[in-house]
Order: sequence, then structure tokens, then C-alpha cells
Amino acid sequence: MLNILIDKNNLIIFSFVLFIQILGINFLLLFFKEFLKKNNLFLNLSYSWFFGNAVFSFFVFLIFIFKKLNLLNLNSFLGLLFLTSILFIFLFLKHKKKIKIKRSNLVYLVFTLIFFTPLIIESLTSFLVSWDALAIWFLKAKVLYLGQDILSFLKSENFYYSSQAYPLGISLVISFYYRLINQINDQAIQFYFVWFFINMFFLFFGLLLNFFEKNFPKFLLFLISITLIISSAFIIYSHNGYVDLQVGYIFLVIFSLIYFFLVKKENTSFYPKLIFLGLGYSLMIKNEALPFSLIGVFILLVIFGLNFGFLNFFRKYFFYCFSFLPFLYWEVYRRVNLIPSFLDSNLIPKKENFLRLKVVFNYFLLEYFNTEKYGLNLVIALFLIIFFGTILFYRRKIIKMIPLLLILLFQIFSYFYVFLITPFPYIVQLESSLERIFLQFIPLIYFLAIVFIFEAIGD
Amino acid sequence: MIKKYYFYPLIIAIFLISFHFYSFYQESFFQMMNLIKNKKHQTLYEKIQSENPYYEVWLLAKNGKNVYFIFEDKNDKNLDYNTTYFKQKQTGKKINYYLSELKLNIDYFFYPKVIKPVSLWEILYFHQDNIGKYDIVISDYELDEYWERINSQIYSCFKKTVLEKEYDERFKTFYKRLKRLLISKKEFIPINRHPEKPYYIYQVIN
Repeated sequence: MLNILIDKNNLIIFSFVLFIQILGINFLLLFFKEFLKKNNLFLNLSYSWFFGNAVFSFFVFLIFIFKKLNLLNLNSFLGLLFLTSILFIFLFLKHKKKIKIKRSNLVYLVFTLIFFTPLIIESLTSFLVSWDALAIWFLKAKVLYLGQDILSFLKSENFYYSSQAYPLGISLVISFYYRLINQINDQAIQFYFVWFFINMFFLFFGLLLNFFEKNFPKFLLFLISITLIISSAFIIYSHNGYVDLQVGYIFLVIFSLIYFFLVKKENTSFYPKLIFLGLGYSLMIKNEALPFSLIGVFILLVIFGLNFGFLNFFRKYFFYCFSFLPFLYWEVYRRVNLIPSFLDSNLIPKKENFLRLKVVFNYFLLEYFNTEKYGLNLVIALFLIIFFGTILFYRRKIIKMIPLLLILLFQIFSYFYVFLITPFPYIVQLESSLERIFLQFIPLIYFLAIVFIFEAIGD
Repeated sequence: MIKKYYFYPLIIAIFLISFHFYSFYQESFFQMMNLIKNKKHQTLYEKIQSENPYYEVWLLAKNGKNVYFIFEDKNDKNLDYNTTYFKQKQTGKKINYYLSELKLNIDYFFYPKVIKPVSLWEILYFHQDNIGKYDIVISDYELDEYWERINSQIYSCFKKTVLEKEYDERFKTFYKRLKRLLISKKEFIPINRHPEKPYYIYQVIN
């Protein structure tokens, strides 16, 4: 095991992941320390990983736009890592009294890492075989690394299968790593992917601690978090080169921020800022983030606008709308350069396609109750949502939860919509993508079940 | 009044059910680690890659070999809907395009070089004269099988057209120039994946 861990390329990927994690902590400590102070260790780890990725992706995208990717190499990275670490030490010493880290949480952190060590080892020793990984994400990363003209690749009819219209966020990050090691290594980079999965665990555990630490033993909450995360579909997709579980994690983070924005009574002005940044980042990863972002922005606008006025909303948060620039740039770029997407010019469903709805619904239902892939979790979550949702309804507390339900339903509806308008045989598309679609919103269902219980009995 | 403690056994039971499946994977998590222990390859990357079902394709790409790819596995399951759709939009004509896992791996490993897939018929009629010594032919169709078939006694009993005869003659000439390369047996069994379809690698020897 040691020779795997001390392999040069693996050491670099560990540093790379550490760099993004520290970058996120620094970012939150610098600009959102009030937010950081409120959270426990696990929430902070997870949120800092998320925002570290957001900041880093914006940075790499900027370099890509200005065609300066060849400036990235191991030396420049080590310089960045050094500066980030110094800043982290400085900020940590400055704020260490305000950020309380419980010793028991540190013990659980170590225990978590030990528990997931086999998975980490497997991620580092996995060769790449999965379809989308080869066809889309890693192929584009290779193109970006080799410094080939990405435009000629995107327009090449040899690679029409490569979903050219997808955003480049993940591929840019992978190609960044390739530049650090100066070669293509699609094995070691899987650790970056698995770290998203582990951070999803941190988030669930952190949320459970946040809600129920006073009522339940910590070890029990730990077991529940593990149970949520170790279903076979999650394990397989945690490091096979697909990005859907990562998209699920991204949605979960934003979803949780929206929830805190809705329920927190004290100063919450930083939540919309964080949500905007998160949505901007999500749009750099996969097209499925578009409906999620649209409904997310709509809800923020309505809630904030109704309470404080729309003008105030724009005055306060206009700057954060810049986080959508990478997405807007990409959309303009691909339309100007005629990079094809099957959604273009197919936006209105044909009348006869509405018959598909019933079939798609049945497929969704069957997938939902597939215990082989998701264990008992989804079934239990559904019953919990119905049961505690009823309690919240009679206590008139459900109104607070409606925006969350709306986001989830809108996201699921958007998948139905795509199957309505797709020019491809929709059954083929449905069967090949259903599992991955589910990975994107399952974390949201778990989250809803958790907050429904908390809202019903937590107080 | 229902106490919260009443739920503990239920939570633990659900955890144990989930953990049972996780521990099943845990066994395979270390499988690769054990496999690569005794491998002699230079780098860790290659040790792991040697268990990839398409390792030999990767190796050919790494060594910069000149490769021809015979793509015959054209069935509905291999339809490339994207390419078919976009090409139809461009030209107005609907022609089916196909994409197999082997083609995907060839594209990925060989990029930026583009290996155009060709049918066996195209190789025999258009490319045979251009194929040089030491060139490589990757095929999803077992040429040896066809060779055996056309040399069998029963095959000679069938009446063939002039074109069929010509095709077989061309094939025989082509096949005699080839030497089949062995594809190493892979020990690693990935979880929950369908087995890869076989493919064949030949080297041109004269």
C-alpha cells in the first residue's frame, strides 16, 4: 500500500486536493468568516472543498479564456500551494479562538478517513473504462492538456459523440493536474473525484450533527451518514470518471445553503452570495445545472424581493451575478462557433411526444425503488418525507419547506422535459442515463428527509 | 410515549444491511493492490493499466504504431445517435454511424491521431496496398475465424459469385501477411460491469 501512496503522481494529486481544500478554507475565512464560525468541522470541510473548487475552477477557466494554460506547471503550482498554506496558517492563527473544533470531531474525522481508505486506494488503482469518462470528460482533458486547438476538436465530426456542448469545468481541472505531472494519468486523478464523495459524507454527517447532536449519540449519527453514502451506485460512481455524483454533491451543497437561508433568523445576507457562487460553479460542470440554477435564482429573487425589495436585491448581490460569466461566455462561444447540441432548435415538445411522459414516469418509479442500487435508503427517505411532511403541514411549517420542494420537483421535471424533446430514441436514452440522473438528485431527497425530521421534532 | 432509544436497533439494522454490500466491495478494493504487487512494469500507471481490458490498444498508442482499425460490429446497440443526428442535420441524409467501446478506447488512446474505422471490405479493396510491414491491424472481427471458414471443405461446396471469389482471394492474400498478437489475460474483475467484447490484434509481417 505504501508504494501506491508514495508514488510521485499520487503525492501530487494529494497536494492538488489539499491545495483546493485550503483554498476553500482561505476563501471562506477571508470573505465569509461569519458563515464558517456557525458550522461544525465537517460542514466547514465540505463547504470549503466546494468553494475551493468553485474559486479554482473560475481561476482555471480565466486562464483558459486568455489562452495561458501553458503557464501552469509543477513549479507554479508549488508556489501557489506555498502561498495558500502561508495564508491559511496566518488566517487560522488569527481566527482560531472563534472557530471551535471539538476533539471528538477530529477523532471522527480520522475514523472516517480510515473507513474510506479501501475506497481511496481503489480510486488510485483504477484504470479508466467507463463510457462517458472516455468519450467526454477525459478525452477533452487530454485535448486541453496536449494544447490542441479545442475548437477544432469540438467541431470535429469524428468526436460528435463527445457532447461538445457540455461545459469544460471538470476537463479543465483534470488537464491542470496533467500539466502538473507533465503526462496523462487518468488513474491518480480519480482521487480528486473520490474526494467529492467523501465530502458528501462530511456534509451529511455535519448536517446531522448540526441538527441532532443534542438528541442523538454522535456514533449513531455517524452510522446514519455512512448508511446514506455507501449504497452500491454511490460507491461505483464515486470514482469511475463520471461526474454525476459530483453534480449531486454540488446540488446538495447549494440546496443546504438555500435551506439555511430560508430558516436562519439572524444575519443571512451572506447566503445568497454563496448560493450565487455555487450556482455559477455548477453551471461549469454539466448542463443539468441549468434548470437547478434557474429555479434557484428565481426562488432567491422572490424570497428576497418580497422581504426587502427587488432593487435591494440587485444592489446587494449584483456583483455575485458575475459568477455566471463562465457559463455565459461558454454559451456565446459555442453558439458563435456553431458547436452543436441536440437541444438546440428542439425546445418545444411535439404533441405526440407527450405520450412518453407515462413511460418515463414508470421508469423513474422503478428506478426509485431499486434497492439493489440504492439500498433501502430511498424508500425510507420517501416514507419519512411523507410522514414528517404531514406533521409539518398540520403545524403549518411546511410553507418554509416549499421552496426546497419546488427546486427538487423542478429539477426532476427538467429531466422529463429533456425526454419529451430529445430527437434520439428516448427509451435508449432513458435506459442509459436514468441511474446517473438519479445520482444527481438522490442527495437532495436524503437532505429533505433529514430537514423534515428536524423541523418536525428537532425543536 | 415512544422514546428515541426505540429507533436505535432499527438504525443499526439498516446500517448493517448497507455495510454488508460495502464490505462486499471492500474485498475487491484490495484486489488490484494485490495484483500489481508482482508486476514487472516500470511505472505504477502501467502496472494498473496492464489490467485494463484495452491495455494492448493503449500500448500500441503509446508506442506510436501505425494502426488500421477494422470495425464490423455494427448493430443497433452500437448506434451512435449523436453523430447520426448531427450528420443528418448537416447533409439532410440519414446514414447510421456506429460507436463501440473498442472504437471509443482507440479514439481516446490514440488522440490526437485519428484512426478512422474501416470495414474489412474497405481494407481489402482500398488499403491493402498501403499497409506496410510492422503496421498493426486492430479488428473487432476475428479474421482467423473467416480464414478457417473459407478453407473448410463445406465452404468449397457452396457456389460463389465472381465478386465473392475475388473477395476471398483478396482476403487470403491479406491474411497471409498477418500474424496474430496475443492479448494478455486480465485478472482484475471490475465490479458490476458487462464483460468487454473480444477484439483481435494482428501485425503485418511482410
